[in-house]
Amino acid sequence: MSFLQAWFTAPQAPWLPDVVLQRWALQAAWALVLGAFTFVLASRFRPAWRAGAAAAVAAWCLWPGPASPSYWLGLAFQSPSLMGVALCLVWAWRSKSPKPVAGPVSRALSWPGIVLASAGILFGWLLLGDMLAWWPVSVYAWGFGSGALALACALALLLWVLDGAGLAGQRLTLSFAAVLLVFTLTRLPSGNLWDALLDPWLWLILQASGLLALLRRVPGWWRASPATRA
Amino acid sequence: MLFLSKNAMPRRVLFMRLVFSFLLLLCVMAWDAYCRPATGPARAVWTSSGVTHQPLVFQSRGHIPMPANTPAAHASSLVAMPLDSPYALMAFWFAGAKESAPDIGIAASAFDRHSKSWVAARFVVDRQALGRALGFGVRRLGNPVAWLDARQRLHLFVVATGLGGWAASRIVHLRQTSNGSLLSELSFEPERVLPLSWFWNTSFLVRTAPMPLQDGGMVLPVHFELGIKYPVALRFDASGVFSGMVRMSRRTHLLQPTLVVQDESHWLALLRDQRAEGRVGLVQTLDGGQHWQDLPDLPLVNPDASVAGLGLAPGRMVLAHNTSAHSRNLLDLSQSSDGLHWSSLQPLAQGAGTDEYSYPAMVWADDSLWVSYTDQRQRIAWQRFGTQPE
Repeated sequence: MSFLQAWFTAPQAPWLPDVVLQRWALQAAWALVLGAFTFVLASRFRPAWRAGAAAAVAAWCLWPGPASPSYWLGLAFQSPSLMGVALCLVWAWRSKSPKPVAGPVSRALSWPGIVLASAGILFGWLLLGDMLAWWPVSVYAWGFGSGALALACALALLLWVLDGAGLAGQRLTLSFAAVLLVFTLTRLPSGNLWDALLDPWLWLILQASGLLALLRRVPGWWRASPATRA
Repeated sequence: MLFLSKNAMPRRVLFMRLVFSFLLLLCVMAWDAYCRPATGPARAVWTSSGVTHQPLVFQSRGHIPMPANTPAAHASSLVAMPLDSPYALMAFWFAGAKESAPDIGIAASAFDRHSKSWVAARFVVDRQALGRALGFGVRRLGNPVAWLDARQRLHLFVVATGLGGWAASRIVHLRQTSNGSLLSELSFEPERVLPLSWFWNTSFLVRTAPMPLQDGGMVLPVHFELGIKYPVALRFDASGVFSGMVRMSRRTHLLQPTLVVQDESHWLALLRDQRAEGRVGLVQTLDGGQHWQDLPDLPLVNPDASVAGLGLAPGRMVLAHNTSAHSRNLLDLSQSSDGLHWSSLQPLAQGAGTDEYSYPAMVWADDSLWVSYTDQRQRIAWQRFGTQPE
């Protein structure tokens, strides 16, 4: 165990993304996120109009300079995480079906989804606490090392090995694995694994989704109480 | 196995998936190990060569010229230039209408070896051009810190704010793109925003000088300042590639660390104290920056003001710091042999009331100690000390 601990926490030189690729990727990531949102929000329109609107918004994000939304979103929030981008694409893909779509995180999560969402919520708190110097160790710096990548890959492979949770679970596991693959090859968006897996917006959405899921499971007596009925 | 019970997967498929997963994991780790840059242990190097224990004597002083129509200046940084350069050193600072104004840019000047004077200042970084090059906006600029890499290329680390004030800052790393040696030819392009925080990469700032390493790289002290303040040491390799970060203190009221060499692996960091009635904070590392320990505060008062330290030679350190408990109207130069006990060497600036002489920077160049500091937030003053009167 001490060997594993040392390997995980040992300071290693970060392997950072290519500078030019990083700049293009920031705009492309916001283009995909805003394009996916547009595609879902325009669900009342005909498919051709939806696709056109999404493509127009994505192209607007790719426009260089202050005229582009990505210029201002980058100023405030830097780049969205790869996982955030992947979930937005999954969300947009699922919205193609006539069934109602709940949000970027599925309303009825499979067990891989519950594992990943719980890990995301927990890790967000760990990273926030790290930034505020609550912990004696530097969790964010671990994201530059090999140990964090090995752990995340092992989790993705474990979910795949234990697969069997249906299409929704497979889709999430595949998204997670695809994010790890892109990060392994490109180190986007920052060279730190935690930035690839989770951004503060995704963390907030995960928590809101988790809270809503819990509220939907409140006992019947609560929902059926006279005060509630009134 | 709980999950498997619902979806009975054949054992053979399970075994094959396990083997495939293990091999895939090995491939990923091998790829990561192959592509990841290697770093050795960090060993500090003394910034001055040939310095003995002769006393430092005052040689000259003045003000660095300002760019035209810029009434405000703050946070200077000095960098020693190589012997084949026409300049002994260069100075960078932020200047404009006032601190945090939209027109603030990074100004630069250089001390000409031939004419023994500072050349006319010019702006070398502006936020609009920086935003265009980065692909996203920059609200305000501040606190440049300069460094010369092993290939004699200048690097600038600049505070650039996002959505909010200084607490929403990020550190942008710029690298020299010009080949010429003259200030008029000097140009930079952004390398990257340093990835230092998960929370939208806020709120890290740079202020104090880097400490050079034997491998040609350096350690850049920075600090976090959203609500709490704590110091962090960043390492860069000989070509200026970011190579890691280590938090330097468990205390949350210390910022703007300045690094002082004791020996190649033993370094001290002296820090600004944000608290009322503050003292200069102190942390140390004994293993070349891998681990840091908090030490008791120094007996030096600190009116929530930046300090600048420099290790000149073994057993010889200097520190520029404000010595009034509640204002920045006194700025002194002190010296120490162990980093723990400091004695006054020379007053640098003395004022009264709301006068401000602050944010000192120091460098050793051309057998002299050069000190620069903010004068009333309007200009950058400089002084030169040597082992012999000029």
